[in-house]
Amino acid sequence: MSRDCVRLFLMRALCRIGIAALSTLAAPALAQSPRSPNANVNSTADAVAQFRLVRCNAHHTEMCLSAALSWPSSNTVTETLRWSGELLRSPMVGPEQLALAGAPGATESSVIIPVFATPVWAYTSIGRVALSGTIALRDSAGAALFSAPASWRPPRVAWPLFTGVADERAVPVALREALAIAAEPPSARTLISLLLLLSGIMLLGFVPRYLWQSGRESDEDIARQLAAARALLTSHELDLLRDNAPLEAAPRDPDESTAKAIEKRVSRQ
Amino acid sequence: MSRPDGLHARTLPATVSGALVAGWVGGAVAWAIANRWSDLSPQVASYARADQLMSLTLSACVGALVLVARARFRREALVPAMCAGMLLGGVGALVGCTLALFLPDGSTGQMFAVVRMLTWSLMAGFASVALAQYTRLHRIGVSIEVLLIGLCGGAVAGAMYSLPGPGELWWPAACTVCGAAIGLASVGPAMWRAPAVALILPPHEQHHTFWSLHERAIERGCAMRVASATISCDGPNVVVYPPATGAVLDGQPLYRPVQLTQNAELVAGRIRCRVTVFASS
Repeated sequence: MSRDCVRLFLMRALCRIGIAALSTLAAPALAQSPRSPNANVNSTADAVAQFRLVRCNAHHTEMCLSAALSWPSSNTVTETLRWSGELLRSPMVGPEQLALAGAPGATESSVIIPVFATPVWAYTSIGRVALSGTIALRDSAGAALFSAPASWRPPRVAWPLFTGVADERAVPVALREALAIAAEPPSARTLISLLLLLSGIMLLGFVPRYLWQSGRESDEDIARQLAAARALLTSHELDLLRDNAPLEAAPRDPDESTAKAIEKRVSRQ
Repeated sequence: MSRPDGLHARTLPATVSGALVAGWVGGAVAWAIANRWSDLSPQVASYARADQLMSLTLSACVGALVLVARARFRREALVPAMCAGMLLGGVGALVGCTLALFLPDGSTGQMFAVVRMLTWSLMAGFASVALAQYTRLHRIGVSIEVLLIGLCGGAVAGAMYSLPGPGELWWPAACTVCGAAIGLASVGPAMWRAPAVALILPPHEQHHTFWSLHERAIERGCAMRVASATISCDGPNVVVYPPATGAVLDGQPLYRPVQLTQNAELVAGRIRCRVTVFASS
């Protein structure tokens, strides 16, 4: 038992050292990782876009990508911000409705790109695929001020978590109407919980009944066999059996010496 | 099935299927816990951290349940097994996931799916190897088997998570498949690589349940007491020592130690025990 405690203590100590070393090594790399939801997008004209997964409001669970943009004060942007790419497959939210700029003359703004407010395809795929496209910012005359590829990558093991809640005032009227029209996406979590519960109960019942061996002989048969066996034993054999039976012991470690090895060692000496 | 040398082909011990189910349940529990998380927090500020937290949660739940099930089947203390399972499983998966996060994401969707499979694979492989340390069967063949089963199971789970269709369903499916794979990998090889496995049979016309199952691998240098009889494994030989009150081995009275060369049923006291001797170990 004490050996087990020492082994467990050593294992824990090794694990702690390993984790400390890994986290020390990983911290700088992970902090700058493009897998972060706040991934920077390559920019031109000093514009910067950051993509995050946010809720559009606190009452609904719409998932949106939020892009925070800033541009030099020498450029005036009125209202046109276009996104093109895989995200624009929604029939209800087109490129024009994605336009969301700040007040005229502002130098920074944010855009809300609904991901599963209305389109079912986005709702089902947001957690498993990387989304990519191009984001373009134009002035009122239609001249391109900013154009850059943008992408968002989901986590690898976890389900995508929100980075926050978008300000409702930042949502343009057209988009707000689209979100209001859109029904709240149905959550399958309750159904999945029930499915898992049923599957678990079936497994817990099915495996013992059909995969594990069951008893066949009755208790009377066993008692009869034992009586017959006992009758065949002489008292001398009984004594021998008592003396010869080994005791149950803890599992032997591979490092421990066996009885034969000890015998050999003793015989050599 | 009998073999020419009198030994029997390997069969799946009940503990293995029990561990598989325990791992499956552990994956479902981890999904239920992770389902409560909706927002990133200051402590978990990025998806890399969320991945690490999910790996830790999944493998800690799976490890705790698998080792508790194994300890119950062996009639050992449950609380130390649960603590060890949480610790070993959680730390193993955390190390594997952290290593995988250094891999680049890939430029295309297909590459991202491959990287995701690798992440799940490393997580499950490391968790399985860490949990298998608790079985104390340190043989290189067993360890390689544990690692391979864990890696393959994790890769299958990662592929499930990347499948097109309802992602909200594929994610818990991936969690449960990964849990089952970790359970199988961490307990299975130690059972089917043992020289013999002794299963206490249930009473007449009854079936074992997960609570009543009593099964144990008889490893080299170990002995197991059934009523007053003793089943011992010294080197490659599995020997049954009868008790003074008498025993029956395969319907024949047993009054001297007998070396088992094939599967046998031992009756001692009011306990019946099936000993499965494996062909090679």
